[in-house]
Amino acid sequence: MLKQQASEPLSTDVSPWAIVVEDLHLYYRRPRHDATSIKELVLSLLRHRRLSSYEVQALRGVSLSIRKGEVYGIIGRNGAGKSTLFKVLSRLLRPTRGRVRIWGRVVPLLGIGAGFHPELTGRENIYLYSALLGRSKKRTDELFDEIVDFAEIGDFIDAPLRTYSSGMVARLGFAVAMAERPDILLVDEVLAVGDVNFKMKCQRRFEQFAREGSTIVIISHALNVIRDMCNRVTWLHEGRVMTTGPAEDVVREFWRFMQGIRESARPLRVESLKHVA
Amino acid sequence: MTLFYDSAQPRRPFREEIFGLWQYRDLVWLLVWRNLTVRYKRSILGALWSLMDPLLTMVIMTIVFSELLARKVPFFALYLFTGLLIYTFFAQATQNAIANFQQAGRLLTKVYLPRSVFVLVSVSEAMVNFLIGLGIMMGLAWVVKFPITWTWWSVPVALMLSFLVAIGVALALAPLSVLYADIGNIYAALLRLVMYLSAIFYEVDIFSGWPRRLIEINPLYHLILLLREPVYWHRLPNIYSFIYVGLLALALWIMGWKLFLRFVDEAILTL
Repeated sequence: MLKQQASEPLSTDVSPWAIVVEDLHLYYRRPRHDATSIKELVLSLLRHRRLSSYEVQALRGVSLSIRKGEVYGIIGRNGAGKSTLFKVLSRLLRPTRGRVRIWGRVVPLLGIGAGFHPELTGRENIYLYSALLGRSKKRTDELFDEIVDFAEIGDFIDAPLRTYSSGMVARLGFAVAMAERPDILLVDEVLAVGDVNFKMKCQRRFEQFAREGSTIVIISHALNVIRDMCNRVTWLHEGRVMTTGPAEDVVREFWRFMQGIRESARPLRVESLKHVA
Repeated sequence: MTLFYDSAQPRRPFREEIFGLWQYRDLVWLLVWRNLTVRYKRSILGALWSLMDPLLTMVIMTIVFSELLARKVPFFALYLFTGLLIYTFFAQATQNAIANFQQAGRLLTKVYLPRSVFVLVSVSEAMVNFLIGLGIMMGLAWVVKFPITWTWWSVPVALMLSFLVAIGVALALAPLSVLYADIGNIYAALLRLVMYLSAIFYEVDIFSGWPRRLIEINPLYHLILLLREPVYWHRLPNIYSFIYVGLLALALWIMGWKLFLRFVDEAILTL
């Protein structure tokens, strides 16, 4: 069960790969003392001679290769390094060691609506978020009608965002991010928002993008979503790759593992396991 | 598809930033415009408040100090305005950069953006206010029949150098004030000191000896001269001011980028 898969062969020139990650390590230092003022800094330096900090080893030798057009899942427990991996893939963090290569433009669906401002109208927020994703104003002009259409916000478009429901905000963010087919899409748990209809619509759009050649990488705790949508899945555990393989197999293996943890942690309670299945 | 990103390539952080800022230029303008409008969204006068602030300060200062200096300095309001414009620009640019980086910097942990984008936005925002203030000053000059002469043509140089100096200082302050909160407070105090040493509301002639020397090494004083000489005194600024401010702007620009690139990643991690 705990077999470590050998990393797959890598080609370099005309690449069939969208993402190749080789022996990726990501460590970062966190100060132990939390000196946020100069006084504290000086005191801490006097006391310990140097700043004490500890190292967080978020990723410890992860290798994986994702093909173009693949829908790829990343699963694992909280703190396994999934989000850290996404941050490296979206260039927010630099590898401590190892190599990451990406062929194509990455659009992360991470902080959906992170740039939204409550006092601005829906229209203004569309332009703002679109620009945050690196689009020019001209490009947003062209995409505008389709965004409004997909978000289903109708007449609210010129009302300030603070009057929107949380579902509407999520839909608007999603619609802006998904207005253009990206080469590579990173999806982090976004299907948690919106009603059933909207979820279906998003899923259809993912599928359409994948058919047209986009590579989609999904992090989710909803194992059924991963199993239904992904071709292949990598299971991360404590910063390392546990298994990589066909979605069905890896999800089953991971689920068994989680079940084992639950059983050892406390007496089996059938109700608490139902929602995982 | 060609290789888009390779972590093994040597880093060129400065080039990445400059290239990125150019790529995201539409975002910079959107954020400038957003900051200018959002702040006053629920007020009746709206964005006009960004003009009211320097205008009200000027009115108050004119009333307070005209008694002291009115006989010596004709058109005192204009004299004051030239100093106040530069100082307000510089203070706004740098302090906004600190505040914006702290608030909006969280975005940098979620979306890939050039890291210096909020610094550029803050300084540009202050620059827009500066330009509006210049417009008001021209209007004022016209109303009180103050002559506007050809020497006004050197004003853009003052704008450019002010911009460079402000960018340099703001770049250094933004990440450092996140890492060490005291730096923001020390800077605020320093800024007040610099204000009193800038000959905004008095003439430098009233001092001699070391206080005067202190004023004359103050870069902000020279920036003010670059604006005040052509606008108020109808003569081109002293070449010494040009060289001093020019070299200083260059040094601050380089130092600002160095410090920014050195500390920005660390600062973002603590946000």
